Formats: sequence, C-alpha cells, structure tokens
Amino acid sequence: MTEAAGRERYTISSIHLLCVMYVSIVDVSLMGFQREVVNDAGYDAWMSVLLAGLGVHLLLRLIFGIVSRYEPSNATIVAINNFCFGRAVGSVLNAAFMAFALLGAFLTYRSYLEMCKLWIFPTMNFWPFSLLFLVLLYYAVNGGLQAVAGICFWGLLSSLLFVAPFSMMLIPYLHPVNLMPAFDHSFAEVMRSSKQMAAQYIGFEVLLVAYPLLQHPSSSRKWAHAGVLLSTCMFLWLLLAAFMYFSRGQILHTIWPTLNMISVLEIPLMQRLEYLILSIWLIKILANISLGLWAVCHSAKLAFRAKPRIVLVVCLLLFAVLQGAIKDLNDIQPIRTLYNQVGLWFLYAFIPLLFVLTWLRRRKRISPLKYT
Amino acid sequence: MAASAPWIRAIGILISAAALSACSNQQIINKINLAQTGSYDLAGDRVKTAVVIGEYFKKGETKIVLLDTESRTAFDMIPKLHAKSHKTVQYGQLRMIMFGRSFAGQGIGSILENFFRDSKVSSKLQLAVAEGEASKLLAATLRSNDPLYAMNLIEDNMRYGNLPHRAFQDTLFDYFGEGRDFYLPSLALDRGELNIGGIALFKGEAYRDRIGINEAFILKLLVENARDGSYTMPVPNARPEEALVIRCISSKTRMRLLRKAPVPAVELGVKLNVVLKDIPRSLRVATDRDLARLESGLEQELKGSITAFIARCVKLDVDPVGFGDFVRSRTRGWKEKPFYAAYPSLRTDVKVDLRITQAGVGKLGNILTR
Repeated sequence: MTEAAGRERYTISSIHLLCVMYVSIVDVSLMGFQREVVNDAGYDAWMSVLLAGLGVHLLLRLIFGIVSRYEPSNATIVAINNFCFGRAVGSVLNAAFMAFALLGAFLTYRSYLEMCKLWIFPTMNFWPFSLLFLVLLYYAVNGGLQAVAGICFWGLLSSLLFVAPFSMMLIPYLHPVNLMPAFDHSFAEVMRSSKQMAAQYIGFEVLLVAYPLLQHPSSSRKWAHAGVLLSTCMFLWLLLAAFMYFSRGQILHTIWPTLNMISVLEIPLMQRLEYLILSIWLIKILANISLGLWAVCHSAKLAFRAKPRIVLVVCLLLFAVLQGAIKDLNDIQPIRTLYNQVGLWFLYAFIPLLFVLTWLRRRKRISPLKYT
Repeated sequence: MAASAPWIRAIGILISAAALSACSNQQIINKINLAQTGSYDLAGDRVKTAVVIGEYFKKGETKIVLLDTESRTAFDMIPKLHAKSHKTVQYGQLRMIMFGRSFAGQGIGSILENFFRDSKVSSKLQLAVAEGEASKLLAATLRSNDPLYAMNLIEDNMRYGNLPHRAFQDTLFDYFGEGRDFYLPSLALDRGELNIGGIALFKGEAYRDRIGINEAFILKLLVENARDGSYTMPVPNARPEEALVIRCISSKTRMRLLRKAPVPAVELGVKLNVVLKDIPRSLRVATDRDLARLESGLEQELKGSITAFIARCVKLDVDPVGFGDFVRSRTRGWKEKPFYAAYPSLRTDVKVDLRITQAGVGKLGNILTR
C-alpha cells in the first residue's frame, strides 16, 4: 500500500469538515439556548448571535493561522502544546484538554437523556436505553474519524431535513411585533448576552485535533467557515422564531423553547411532533458525542501513546458511572456553567495565546519539533 | 469492527432488541381511560373537577363517561380520578378545559402555569369559561357521544363564527406577556344545548366580565385578520328596531401610534369587506349612490361600536386587544406600570373602511353588485 493510499484511509474530505464543524457546534443547547441569551439582552439577543458567530470566525482564522505554521502531519493541539510549553507543562495541558473534551461529551450525553426523560418517558428506567447508546457510541468512535464524520453527515442532514422545515411550519404562529423596538438594550447588556451565546459554540476546537486528518488542509478553510456560518444561521433562525413565538415573560418560563415551539405543530398521523424530532435528534447527539470522544481518544494516543480503544472503554464506563450520579437538570446546570467558563477561557484566551507563542517561535526561526 | 465474529454481532443485535423493547412504554387505547375534556368548578371552599372520558371498544364505537371528584386543591384532579376509575386515566389527549365562572373569578393562573410545565398537555388545548357551573355544561355534552364536543364547537366558531382564533399557546402568550390580557370563549346552556355565549375577559389571571357574541366580532376584527364572522347592527337612518347582518369576508386592522406620552393615543384603521346577509325590505339600494351612502352609514355605525367596545375595555381596565404591547413595540424603554396608569385616558381614533362586495346571489331590489 502506498503512503498516499494509506493516508486516504484515515482522512476526511473537505465537505465532511463542514458537517463536523456544524455538528461540533450545534448540540443539545439548540433546544434551549434562547432562554440563556434572553436574560441580558432581552429580545435584542439576535445581535449576540451575530457577534458570537463573528467571534468564532475570527477564532477559526487564528486556529488555521496556528496549525498552518506546523508540519501538517503534526499540527494537533497535543504537539503544539508540547512545542510551546515544553514536555512537562504540555502534558498537563493536554490532559486538561482531554478532560475538558470528555466533560463536554458527557454533558451532551446526560442532557439528552434528561430531555427524553422529561418530555417523553418520565417513568422509564434509563439503563437499557443508555446501555444501547453507549454500545452505539463505542461502535461509532471505534471506526475512527472517518466513521465519526460519516455520522456527522447524517447528523447535519437530520437537522436540515427535520428541524429546519418543521420550524418553518411555525411561521403562522409568530408575532413579528415582539422584536420591536430593536436596539432597546445597552452595549454592555448585548455583550453579556454575547458571552452566553459564545459558550453555545464551544466544541469546534475539535478542529485542533482533526486538522492533520484533513485530506486537503489548505482548501478546507472555506468549508470550516461554511460550517460555522451554517450553525450561526441555525441559531439565529431558531432564536428569532422563539422570540416571535413566545412573549417576553413566557420564554423565561420555558426550559426548551425549541422543543416547546415544535409541540404546537401537527401533521397527519402525528399529533406530537416533538416526540419525532427528539428521536431523530438522537443521530445528531450521537455524532456530537462521538466527535468529543474521538478527540479524547485520539489526543490520548498522540500525547500518552495510550491505546484509543482502551481509553474509549474507560470513557464510556465513566459515562455509565457518572450518569447515575447526576440526578436531574439542577445537577447538570452548575457543571455546564463551569464547562462554559472553562471553554470560554480556552477559546478566547488560550487559543490567542497559542497563536502569539507560535508566531514568536517562528520569528526565532526555530523549526517545529517533531513528536510522534 | 468489520472483522468481528458473527456471534458477536448476534449478541449485539439481541442486546439492542432487548433494550429497544424495554424502552417502549406502550399504552393501548382500550386499556386506558382517555380524558379529553375537563372542567374546574368551585363548590363551597372546595374544588370540583370533572373529566369526560371516551371509552373506545371497537373501531367507531365509543361510550363517553363523566367522572367527577372533589378536593381541597385544584391540582390533584388526575390522581383523584385515578382512584375512581378501573383503568388508568391518561390526559395526553386532553384537548378542552372549562372553568366555572366563580372558579375563573378566583384566578386560573396557577392552572395555566402547571399545564404549561407539563409536556403532556398540548399547546392546542382549548380553554373556555362556563356561565355558571362547568360540570353541568360538561354533562350536557354527554348526549352527543363525542368527548370533544365542546372543543369542536369552539374551533368551529373560530373558523366560521365570531370567535378569534385562539388556543392554549395564545392564552399563555397573553398571560405571561406584558401589555396584554387574555380572553377565553364563554359557554352557556341554551335550552339544554351548549352554545357560545360570547367572550370572557380576564384581568391578570382572574375573570373580569364577559361580552356577548355580537361584540365578540368587534374583538375578532381588532385582533386578527378575520375571515369570517357576522355582526348584527341597526340599519342606518332607519327605525331603531330594524336590523341587518353583515358577514365579514376579509378584514385587516392597522394600528398607528399617534402619541406615546403622557396620554397614549392610537389610531385604528379597520378595513373590511362584507357581504350583506339579511336586509330588511325597507332598505332600498337602487343606485351606486345608495350603495355608497349605505357603506358610509355602516362605517359610522361600526366606528361607534368599536369605540364603545374599547371604552368598555378601558373602563374594565382590561386590555384584550393588546394596546400595551403595541405601544411597547413603538416605544423605547416601555414599562407596563406607567402605561396602565395612563390607560383609563387612552385615546383611540377609529377609522373604518367598509366595502360591500356582494349581497347574495338573488337580486334584491335593484342592488348593484361590484
């Protein structure tokens, strides 16, 4: 087997990168992010979505700026940490990154279970379902990035085929006058709400792990940006729809505005559409979690030469154990707040720092070290 | 994974199958009692609740049963009814709730909020206020053998009658929203049959007053683009006992903010196309000029009715039309309190543009159709 063909077996194409970016950004929060951003900026929060989206495009430029200065086969966050901070500190940072990605995947997993529990089966025993879910996750992640990207494709498709058209059916129920008057909030309020919104985008840093496995690293930039743009559009549309559907007081009483909106729709043979949506949403959630788990396993392999399969099994066992420890939504919320805090620091402080460090090193004309 | 042995796959499939069947939480229709219409009443200091249950035996065969119970609170309807029923009572198909008038007078906010929190309750649930006792009205629908009789009655009247299109979500929208008060259809008994008596107006969460079915048309005109509905009004320039009926074909109402503060002033431009349904013989419409005169006469009449309706709402301190919300959408930093402090002196300027498009298919005198 030639080297090119061998590489072909593990890499993903540019269009898959679009799916990966979309899926990594849009997770369970799509069902309820509206309530979080409305607290500060009220119904002007659509500006926050645009600002946060813009921020992610800038970060994406930074990320591409960082990785393009390393040898393509070696441009992962693991190698970059080791290169910028030295082996010892780098290892600590890598472990922290893996823990962070694992926490993100777990939060998505647990929130989805909670959503099913509250909406559809309040009395159901969740062990059989989660067992099946974990087996599915093992199967997906074990297939490597190609398999995960394949599921991401279906995840994107399920979003585009179901959530988007069904939310269009809401148009007769909307009250556009809710959005007026626009610009009724101060700059500071909009910025606070943008911070909330920026936290919804956490997840796309998986690119820092997947970059060496892109088939065409240089031409994939525009696909990554397209993926981010697509998620921004999705967020924006569902935000505007929720703002026009609920009155101001009502949205604050709603845990999952998106699900709640969809529940007003009826199609022939299906009176409760949100049950269907929530079930199809499983594919999307599966893709999101597998992406996070894959990032953990792959980084573990690069950083500590651990066997990905063993890391994966440990992670899934951890899921099974922790899932029981978290009783309900009130337990998830503080963890999510913590995760969002750390994520924002990682994205908006650590990545620019990496960029600067990479840039400084380059000026000293030190060629990148090689780690395998 | 590709190389896994067949027995591993078989085990995988078995596990999946077991897990999937464990997930199914099935409820078969003839093994449960499906509560479809419910009611809340006050009985002394206790709450009386009732539900109409459809018992499904074979396809097309239904028996409907009324179950009722009394309790100290309004919140344990389902568990109390469970105790009275030999099959489990499921309320996932609850589509209609009636409140007795005295119960509604105490406020229904907590019930609305609880229903909103419950994912089993549909956003399309219909709510109504009963003149008198709701459970009596419920009992009156049993003869129809349709557990959703009251809901169908209401939805039919939204489509073809004088009720504005509303469901649970719209009521919640008004209830939680600022600058609006919600309203519900009002049901009454007319010679033993259920009928729409008009619309019950609420302030905050409590019943305030009701308007008749004729006035309901005015409200429908103001809150939506009415497609149907009819209005009985006196014939312009005629003896007061002479009346005619206009039927609305289409309508559109535009609001314009004339002044924000200190006293808000709103201009209402109501445009409507009507059909003259029932006209007294004495009304002669022979020429274009007659028609124009009739139109402007009806416009004046309707303008008077709309102004009177708004004056009544203002006097009752209720805002079903949502003037507050409208002014909010045009004002920066709008606050609910000062607006409603100034609400009693709200100025409205009503402009009506009415066109008669047709008067039945038969020729009436020399009426000209356009």
